[in-house]
Amino acid sequence: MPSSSYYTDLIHRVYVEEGVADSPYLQRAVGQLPEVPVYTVKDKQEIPQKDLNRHTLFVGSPRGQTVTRCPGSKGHLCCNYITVDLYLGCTLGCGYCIMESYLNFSPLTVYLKPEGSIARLQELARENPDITIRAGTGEVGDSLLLDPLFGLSEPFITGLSQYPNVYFELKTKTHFVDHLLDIEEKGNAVIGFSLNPQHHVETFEPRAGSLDERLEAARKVLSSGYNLAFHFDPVFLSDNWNEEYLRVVAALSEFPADRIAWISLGTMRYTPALKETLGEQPFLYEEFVPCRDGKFRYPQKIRSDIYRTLYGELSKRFAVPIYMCMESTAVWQNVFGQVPGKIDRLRAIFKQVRSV
Amino acid sequence: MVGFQVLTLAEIDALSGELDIFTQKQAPLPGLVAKGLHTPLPICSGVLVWGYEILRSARSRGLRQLSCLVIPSCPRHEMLSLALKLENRAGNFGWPEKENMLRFLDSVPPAGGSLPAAVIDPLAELSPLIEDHRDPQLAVKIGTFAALPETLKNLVAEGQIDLKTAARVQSLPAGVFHQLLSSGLTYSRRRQFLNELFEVSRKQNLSDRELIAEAEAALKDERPIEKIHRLRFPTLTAMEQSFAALEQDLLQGSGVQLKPPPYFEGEAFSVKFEFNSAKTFIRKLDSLHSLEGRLDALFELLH
Repeated sequence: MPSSSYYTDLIHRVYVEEGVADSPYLQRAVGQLPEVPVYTVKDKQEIPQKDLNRHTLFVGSPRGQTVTRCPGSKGHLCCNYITVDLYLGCTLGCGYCIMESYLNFSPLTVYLKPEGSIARLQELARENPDITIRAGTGEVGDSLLLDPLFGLSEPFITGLSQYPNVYFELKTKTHFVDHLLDIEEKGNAVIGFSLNPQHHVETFEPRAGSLDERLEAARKVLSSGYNLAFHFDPVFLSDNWNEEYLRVVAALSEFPADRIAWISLGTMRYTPALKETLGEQPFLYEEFVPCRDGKFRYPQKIRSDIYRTLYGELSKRFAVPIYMCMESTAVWQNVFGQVPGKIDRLRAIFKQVRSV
Repeated sequence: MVGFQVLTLAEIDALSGELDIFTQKQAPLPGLVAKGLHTPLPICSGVLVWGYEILRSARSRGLRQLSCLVIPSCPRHEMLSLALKLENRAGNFGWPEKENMLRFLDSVPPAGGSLPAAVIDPLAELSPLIEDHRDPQLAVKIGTFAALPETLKNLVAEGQIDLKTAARVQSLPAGVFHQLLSSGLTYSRRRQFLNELFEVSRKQNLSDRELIAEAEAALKDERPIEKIHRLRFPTLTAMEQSFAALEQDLLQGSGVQLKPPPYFEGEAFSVKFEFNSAKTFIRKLDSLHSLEGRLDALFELLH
């Protein structure tokens, strides 16, 4: 559990939309931020210009669809993950994050009233009894960065625990899991940890949890009954990438395969807009080439080599679904010899959920 | 109270000349100055706000006095605003002049491009008079210019390199810039050259000597941009060279074109040929058959 000074360093003010001022989740959060001023506004537009930054937290009710299909990437295979908008934005400030290109001047946003999203996921679960539904809140923000304050993951976990075809994932680079340990009805809930060698954590993820802290958090959630997921994403090329990443893979050996829901792999990629925002990051001096979706990636041959190495090592240790995020058919063929729909272990999780 | 006064040149000379900041001289017609037909020289808080060219012209004509307009005390950004209005050439100020404006507002030279808030807002306000459009980032840009090494400042001021590139590549040794200027590369190619050389320097941690040598070698090449590009993208270059060697080995002179996917991203190569008889068709197919023994080497490029 992060200390309250951790959050007061992070959050300098809270703007609350009128409609959610009575929310128990809000009360829980502001109770832990006694010195942070809280203002009530009609909507987000009322936040003064000077406060439109990442030290401002906006708490409101969701607008429009909060449960959507991952938009994927043109010309690349998508794993058909369902994304849930709950925590938008992130202050971990990772040196490669896509959110850096569009969230710099946006407040962190928390959508209260999770009931609508939970009901929608339950509905999808009922409508797709034959499909494994993978859904999570970690697409546009870190699932657990603010969760110790608001506790919004709990109703999702319990509300979906009765649905055997739903794997609800909380994806994080933090180690903030203590508040989740005593939840009784966990169902298939998955706590996913994004992993990188400690050297990269220090360079590119300085405000995130250390590798050891994340692994310790994984041990905790495992022993309290959660499933685990691991995300090697983004993988960085360096002179000794092989050695560095294989050491992280080796560190996962202690985790039982039957409790690992999936492992994903993705090499560093960026949009031209993100490159402008990132400035002079050392990893940008590697070779990147434009791909069909307009993003820049390491050349296909290099990516394939990285994935083959990691997949080779991981699959030796874990007979679990291991997949690549946003990769081309060519790379899938190079690494797996097949596209995911034809790989037994992946077919189920890559099957598209109907009526999202 | 604003008041017109006729002051001697000696009195004007005794004023502060810190707003003598415009390097693009607009000499007034000397005959008009001699007849007193000139804009009165504004004076504020002991500073001659504008009219330095009129003053110089008067001095060279041997005049003894000039009409002035004495203005009560006002903030420095208002003095600058008046000077800019009278100068009346928005959109046509050079970078050294803009740096002078910044220094007039904030005499402390900017360190590492960081600027006090006290100059950011006034310069944003004044930007329509300077740039002919509002630019909230103007102070930051001027600060960036001011922090450049002298060689690069000159190149930016002369319009040889854009400010953004200059700021990015300023750690490159000055020798590179001298070589580049005599290379005959166009403006946009200079930018590309510098950016890629800079990235090479960061990736390979080259010494100044090595960088100058690399730049020299590239600029002597028939195709300098391609040469520096090969240094910046060695893996891709190696793949292109392997492919070209294979293609030349197997298909040169056959009239069959073999193409890899762009940037070797993809699963398939394509072939293209034309034929106008059964005989040429068979000849092309024979050429293609020659690929069979080398297909592994070819597909290795995509795997």
